[in-house]
Amino acid sequence: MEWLKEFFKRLFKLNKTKLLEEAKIENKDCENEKRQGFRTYLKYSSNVERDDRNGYNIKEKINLKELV
Amino acid sequence: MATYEEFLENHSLEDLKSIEFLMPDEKSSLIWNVSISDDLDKYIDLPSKAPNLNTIAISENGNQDYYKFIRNFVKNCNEDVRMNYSMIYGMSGKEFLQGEEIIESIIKEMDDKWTKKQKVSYVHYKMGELISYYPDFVFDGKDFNTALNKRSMWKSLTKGLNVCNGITSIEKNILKRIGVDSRVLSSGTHAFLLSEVEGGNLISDATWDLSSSLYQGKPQYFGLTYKELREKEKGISESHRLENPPENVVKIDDKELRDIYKSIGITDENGNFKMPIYHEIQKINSRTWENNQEKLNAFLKMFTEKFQKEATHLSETREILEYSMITLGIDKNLVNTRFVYNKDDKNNQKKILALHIGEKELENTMHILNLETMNFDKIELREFDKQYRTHTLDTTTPFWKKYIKENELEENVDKDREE
Repeated sequence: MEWLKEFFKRLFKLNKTKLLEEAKIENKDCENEKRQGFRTYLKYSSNVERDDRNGYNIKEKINLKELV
Repeated sequence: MATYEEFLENHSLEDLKSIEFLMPDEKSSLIWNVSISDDLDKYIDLPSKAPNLNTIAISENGNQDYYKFIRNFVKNCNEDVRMNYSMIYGMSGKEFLQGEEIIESIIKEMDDKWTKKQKVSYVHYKMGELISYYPDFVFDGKDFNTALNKRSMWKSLTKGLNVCNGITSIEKNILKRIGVDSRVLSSGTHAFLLSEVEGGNLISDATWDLSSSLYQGKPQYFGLTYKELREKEKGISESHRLENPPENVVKIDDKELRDIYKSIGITDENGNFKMPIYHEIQKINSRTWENNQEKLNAFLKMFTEKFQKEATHLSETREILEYSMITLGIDKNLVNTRFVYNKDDKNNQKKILALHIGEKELENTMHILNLETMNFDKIELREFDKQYRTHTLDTTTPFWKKYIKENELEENVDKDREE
């Protein structure tokens, strides 16, 4: 089990490090990374807290009345 | 991997370290000592006979009986037993049992006789109360196990944090236990759910509805057709784009949505969602204020007094705070929120919610949500810029820079360089 963990750790750690460097470039599509299954996706916004990564939403600001 | 009988042909029970319990239609992952899918109950006493058993692998697609067995089995194990599902998600036995308690309590809140639409509606709404969106921002590649562990379904229920694929896993698991089949829809960057209900398939996105659910508002991403979903995010996001959109999708219109949520006790008797924060803002709006700062202060005070539990769900609170500003009458283009980090926080460990209003009298102040004191701290913008920054991966110029005079900005940049 440990060998499997190490295998994944190395695999993803290497790729994640590579991904980070590319992710720092604004508006990178990260097509290669998406094909490999990574979710970082900075196309619409370089605000990493508000981008499509991991499914976080970018939504229009609305009046709370619409939620009543 | 072997069956229990095969294992015992060449080993004693002292050699048994890992065991996998599967549902009948599932395939073994081949890495555990023993894999069992039939007559689970006859193994309930195994922990007392296998003293070195330390890992239990389980299915995430079990039914009620299956998890009842697993709970009882785990209770018979050593306290330090580890658990695993899908090979890579880990948790302790204790975390599993705590997660199970939460799941079982949700199921008890539901009525067996509810329709599938009602059940899906309830579980969808419940996610807002249970989980806060927690993006994997530790992207330096170092915390691989941490990132995955955060998404571990049972573990995340105890921590109250997850992201879209974890949230859909939780929903799918609960729905399976109460007789509703569902599957995850994935656009590659986002996961949401498709459930089999009366008349067809229902699309739902509990992740995108976390804010509205948490603050008791109307779900915005429930029962839409695929076309409607895509239309809603047009020009903003591709999160729901699918190569093969689902077929036979049922549409839940506004009336039916309100009827369903009324029937399961979420709305008031008129089918209106309770949304208490909206009503509190209406009270503020109905009063006369000397200036906008006074009005904003009133809102912030009200918010930290009445929404303390919700405030700890930072991602959702961020969204609702923005909507609140608009509801207070502030131009949406002048409302900005950001997660910021203290400049000493090199690894972006502690995110802090900052709110800024670009109106003339308010533009020199940043409001920061302090969860320890449950207050909004006001900090002068130049001072804020000295102390805080955006995420290390964020290469854009922080929005607040434009409100700081040039010479003051240069001072802060010089200071950053020195550091």
